Amino acid sequence: MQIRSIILYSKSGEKRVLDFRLGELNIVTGTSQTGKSALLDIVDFCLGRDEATLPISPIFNTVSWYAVILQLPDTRVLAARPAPRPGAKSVTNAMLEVGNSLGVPELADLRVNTDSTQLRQQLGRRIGIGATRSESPSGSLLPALSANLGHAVLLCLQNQDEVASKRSLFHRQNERGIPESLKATIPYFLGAVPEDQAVLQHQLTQAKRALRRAEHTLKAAQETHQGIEARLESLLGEARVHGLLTDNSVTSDRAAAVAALQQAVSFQSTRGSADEDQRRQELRLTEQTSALRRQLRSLAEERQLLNDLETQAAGYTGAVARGISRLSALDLVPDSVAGEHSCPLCGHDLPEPDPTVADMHTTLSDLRGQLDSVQTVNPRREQALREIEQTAARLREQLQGIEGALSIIAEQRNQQAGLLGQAEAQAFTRGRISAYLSQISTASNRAHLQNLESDVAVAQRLVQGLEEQLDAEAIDDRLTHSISYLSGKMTGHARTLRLEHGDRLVRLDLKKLTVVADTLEGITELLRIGSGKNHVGYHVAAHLALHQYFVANSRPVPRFLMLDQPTQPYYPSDMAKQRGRLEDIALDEDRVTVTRLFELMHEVTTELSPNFQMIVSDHADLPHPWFQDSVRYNWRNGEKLIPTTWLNDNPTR
Amino acid sequence: MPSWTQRPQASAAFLNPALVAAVTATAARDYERASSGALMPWPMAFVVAPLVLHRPTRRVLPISTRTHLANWVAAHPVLVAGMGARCTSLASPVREGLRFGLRHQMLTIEHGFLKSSIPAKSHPRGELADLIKAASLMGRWTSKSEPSTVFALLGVRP
Repeated sequence: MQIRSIILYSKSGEKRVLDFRLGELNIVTGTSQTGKSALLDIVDFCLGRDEATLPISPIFNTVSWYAVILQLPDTRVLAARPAPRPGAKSVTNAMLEVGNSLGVPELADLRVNTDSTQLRQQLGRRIGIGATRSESPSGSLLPALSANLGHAVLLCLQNQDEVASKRSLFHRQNERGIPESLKATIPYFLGAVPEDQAVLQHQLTQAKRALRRAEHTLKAAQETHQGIEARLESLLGEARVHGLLTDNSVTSDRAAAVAALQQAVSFQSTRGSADEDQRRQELRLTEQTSALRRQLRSLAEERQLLNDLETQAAGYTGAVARGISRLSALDLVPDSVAGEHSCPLCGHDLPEPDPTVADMHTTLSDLRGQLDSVQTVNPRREQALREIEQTAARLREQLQGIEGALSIIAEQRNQQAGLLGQAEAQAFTRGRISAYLSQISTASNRAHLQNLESDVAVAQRLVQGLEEQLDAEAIDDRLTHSISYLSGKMTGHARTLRLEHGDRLVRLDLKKLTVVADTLEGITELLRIGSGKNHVGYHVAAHLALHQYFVANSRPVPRFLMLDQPTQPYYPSDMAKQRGRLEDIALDEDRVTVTRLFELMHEVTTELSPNFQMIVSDHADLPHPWFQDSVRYNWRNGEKLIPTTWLNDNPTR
Repeated sequence: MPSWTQRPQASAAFLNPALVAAVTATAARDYERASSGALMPWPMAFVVAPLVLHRPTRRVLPISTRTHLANWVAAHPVLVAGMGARCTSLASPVREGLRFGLRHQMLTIEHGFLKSSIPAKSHPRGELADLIKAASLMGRWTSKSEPSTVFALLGVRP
């Protein structure tokens, strides 16, 4: 994802369109107060940030909409947001359009059609941010976090306060909650945390529960198994006493004893004159049972559908494009017979060309053109599966309840029948016998015990397998690998820029979210020492290294980096900033460093081209030809982001 | 499609061309009204019908067009997952419905866009009322985004 254009709309419908080149270094140079820094805020805002951080001034009040046109590998996306009303702290309205050849729309065409959350989700899934959720550690009050575009954008922006800050390395790191989300999501963006971690975590919880259940059943069965003969004997005796059994022979064979007891239970159970009502109720409950079973079956089908979808998507796309796949084609007109000679309504060939039919083809091919390589974003599978699972569990509980009720009814009927003709004691004994028999009927079976044991073993293996996949050590290993790659790149950049301590091994500390150097004396936090010049250097080095890593590993992070005024510590006065010339910098070595800074950015962007875009707004206006080639806008001598004429043409509230 | 008399009675009645034509014409009429004059592109008919005629989908359609399509899509992943298959399977009934509508002057085609000519006032009853109401909503709803965006969000291409 790179930025094609940034567009501002005035209230009266005028447009200010800034175009940027893809895959190159883009420089916007100019004097102070021309709106250079606002570019970054506009991009931040249009990509779904809710708080309005745009400047509040009469000139910005003339803007009614902000928009960016983003270039994805094969699609363009227009993300637009209505300007917040003066005084409003945040907005959630947004507009999202997708198409292959989206142009710059007119103000009249803009309308709110989504909100910022969905904007972030849709864009995020389109660049390949999967259905991740990092579960918060147990006991923590933090909600589970799912990575979205909002988190990725934090790695792509640096405004003028941040680029030279010694306190924060990343965008908005000083804001509440942001450091936590950075720490939770950077491992994912680096590729250390697997995509399906959340799903695995969920499966693990369920597997553990299943294991506990299996162990419990096994234990109960084993307990029942002990002392079974004695109980059978005593029950036989009881049955004889109450006249349920006539045969007085003593048997030590368990099977025979059980058979005798069963006979005792079924004694006198022929009087089935149950209530009409009870019958009806039973019927109703049975119907409910089958309805519930049907629902469970359709849920299983839905789950299958979602699983199939994932398989198809994975078959078509590579590791980057997980979660997106081709739109499914309707094939309204077979491609082979395109043209005005075939009717789009019936597919038949027409002897004569028909103007209406030709028009229909035009509409169709226009629409197809817009959608040619647009990809669809798969529905949030993980969330959907979870919901289906929950519904299924609820239905299963209902089913159990109803089946319980059914068995109670059956029991009652037996009881009534018994009480009519027999003594209460007989019925009581029968109940006891039947309860025990049902208990032992399964438990007494050797094979059954073995089944239970193997169930437990299977559940244990499942839990083990999942735990291995979720192994924290493996994640740490992968993270260390990424960090050392980054460290290599960063050290290289630091040397190129001749930064203080640049001769040491420089690395990223994800726990503290800062840049550190390991020395014999210990760990030195580099952002805490040295001057603003070093801070800028390390910010640039770290972010360039990160993006080099993201590109090399096809990680789902937007392929652009926006920097605002990286050379601010070098320009001694406002006067110097006005002109931005190299000669205005007092020290010789600073001139060299500023040149080197831009050279590095140019070099890295060229090296990664066309997969990486940089947009830098700065005062500097260097004379070198490669620099001048990269200058897109030079806002001096009155040219600004927002034309001053807008002030006159637009009523300010 | 098999000829009318050879189709199974039930599916013939459920997907009869008059119903599809009425649904499409209603959607086209309200699309035009909501977008102040812009007509509905004809391929949109192939998306509207599956959304309106599929009962589980129709049941969860929003009450008003204030719900954004993108949000609705995110909230109903299972329905969206099956969209492609349903649209494909309904393509020939929709084609038939369009032909029916054209023949009976419920619809006309203007430069590749559908213009509806059915009157606004009609008081259907029973399930038909639900269908027509849903069709009207779909017309107004889809007019809120570019056609390409609607197709992309629902995961289908014409």
